[in-house]
Amino acid sequence: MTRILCVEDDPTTADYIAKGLGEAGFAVDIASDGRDGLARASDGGYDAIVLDRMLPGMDGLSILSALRADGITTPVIMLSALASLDERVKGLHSGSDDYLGKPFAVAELLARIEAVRRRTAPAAQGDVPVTRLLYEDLDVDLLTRRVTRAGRRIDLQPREFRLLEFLLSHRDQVVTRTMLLEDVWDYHFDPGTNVIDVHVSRLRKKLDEGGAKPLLHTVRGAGYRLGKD
Amino acid sequence: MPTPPARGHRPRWPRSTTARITLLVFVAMVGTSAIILGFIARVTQGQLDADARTLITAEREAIVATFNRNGPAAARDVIIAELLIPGPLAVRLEDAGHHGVAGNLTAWPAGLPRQTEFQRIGLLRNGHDAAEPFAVTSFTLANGYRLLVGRSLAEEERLTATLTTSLFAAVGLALLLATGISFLVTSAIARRIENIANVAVAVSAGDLARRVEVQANGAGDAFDRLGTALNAMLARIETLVDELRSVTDGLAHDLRSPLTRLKARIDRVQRDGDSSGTDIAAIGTEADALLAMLENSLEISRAEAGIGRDRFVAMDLAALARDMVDMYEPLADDNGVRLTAIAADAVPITAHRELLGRALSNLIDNALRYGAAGGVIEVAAEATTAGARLTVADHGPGIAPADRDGALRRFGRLDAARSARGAGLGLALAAAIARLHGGALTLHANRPGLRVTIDLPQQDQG
Repeated sequence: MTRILCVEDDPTTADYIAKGLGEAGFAVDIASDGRDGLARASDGGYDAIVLDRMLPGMDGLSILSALRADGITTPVIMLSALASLDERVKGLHSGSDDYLGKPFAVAELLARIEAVRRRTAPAAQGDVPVTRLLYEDLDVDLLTRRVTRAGRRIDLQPREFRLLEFLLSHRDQVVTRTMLLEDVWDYHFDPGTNVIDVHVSRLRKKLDEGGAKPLLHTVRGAGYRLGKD
Repeated sequence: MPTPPARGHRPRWPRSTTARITLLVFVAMVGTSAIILGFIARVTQGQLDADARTLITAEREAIVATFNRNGPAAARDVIIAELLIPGPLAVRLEDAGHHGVAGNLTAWPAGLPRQTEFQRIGLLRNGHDAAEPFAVTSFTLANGYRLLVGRSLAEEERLTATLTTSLFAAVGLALLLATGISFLVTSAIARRIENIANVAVAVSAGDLARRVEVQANGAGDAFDRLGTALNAMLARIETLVDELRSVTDGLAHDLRSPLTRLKARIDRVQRDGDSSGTDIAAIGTEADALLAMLENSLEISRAEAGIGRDRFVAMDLAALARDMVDMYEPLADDNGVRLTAIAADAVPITAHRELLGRALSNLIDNALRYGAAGGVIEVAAEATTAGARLTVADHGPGIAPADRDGALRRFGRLDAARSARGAGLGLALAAAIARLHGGALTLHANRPGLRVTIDLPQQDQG
């Protein structure tokens, strides 16, 4: 079972996280102050750590640097009420694997936990660069940028190609709009709900054209998932 | 922050400062006077000795010359002639048997060598009541004769004594004056500092309107300058506090209606339940809008406060324009709008990429929201002589010149019935981001439509 350590001093938020992650099948331990959090995190054994930025005793950034100094590489997602653009970028630069501003949806947190866990998991195929992504009847050549589905050629705009590449590398995971925005466009602000949706629906239309089995799904209240139903 | 000293202690410090400075001046004066007096005494003494030495040497030379040329008797005559007139001279010429030949001394002074260039010694001359200080020189002549010539220093010592007395009197007077003046000056300074401190205390206590009194003729001494600077600072603080107050009022005002709607929906769900889930969804939307409004408002405040200047990077404004057009193009297309970028040539600038992206995204969002009817929206990035310019132009209804200021104000929504998201903060945020870069956002008529430009000056590197 996947074990998550949540270091959060606000009981309501801690409860919200524990409940949400619990429902998704994670085992969640709560530490309510910085020192306790660091002590538990130092034991290792967790698959991911959800770390509040502002904590009594020891703040989140100090805990993170203490952990990294100890050689503990457990993925860390930083939570913060300091959700301004600058703070987000600063948080990411401080060595956390991801940064989430409060308030946030559990779905967003889940998607990001999943993403950092997979990102930090050892690559199965070694260091050989991936040049071709295959999924079901979808074939994506990363070098020639040629995309075919069941032998049918699909023409994609460069941005649509990047979108598909990102979704394919996170197959069977929920990918949120902000994750797409951050990875595909490299911007950290929220341009409003529709903007990304329209891009995704265009890509979906091109992929699923001709009555093929739908590959790209909308996950209500969270984002998208490329994969089987 | 250290706690300020209790109020009862505060008036004590200027007085003790006065005492300290006065004491300091006093000690400094005493020290300087001692050095000067010591120096004068040394120089004076040295000069007097030198004078006496010259005189007695000359006298001795004259007697020795006569003795050598014409013998002891001639020398005796010279000595007798010299001593006829009462003066400061003391002379003794004696033969090998220590018998006095001439002079006004009864015996050779005990301990005086037979030959010495210059020596101080006390001597009692014949016909005098008391011994006087003398500068003497002695000389051994032929046939065992020896000569002593001396000059009384009594006159010089009286002079030195007078000089010393008057010097001490002058120094004492100067000390008194200096102490008095330093006391007066220091207490005047302390009074003016206390005046400024009182204003600071009053302002800390909440009276932001208090100002330091500055002399009317202005631009006077350092205290006037300090007072003027302090007053300028206080005026700035007062303005900022007023601004903050108006922002808070505006925010409270704008938050009230969505919060009231939120509350009404929650009440309804509590009363009737929400079988369809639409109310809960609407509550979520409303909450999201509130959060967006709050975030925008905070982002504006941060930009206005200049936060983010440390994150300026070298970037291409044209690439940013193309990125944003690329991001919004499908959405525009769905709304029947052709969104085009006129940004082929690179426009290198130093700026906050994220914030500038956000500003441009807000402008495009606004254009799509209010100018979609025009069918075409152009986004341009170009280099200008002063720096760089971003333009978003639509062909919609535009904004009347009279309403343009209002559109740029925070919470300055043109139409209160418009959708909650953004809540009129989009333009205000873009304008704040332009100002963060030292630039300006301007609204122009596009005949028809609205053309928004952000002019960015060349940033100083480093």
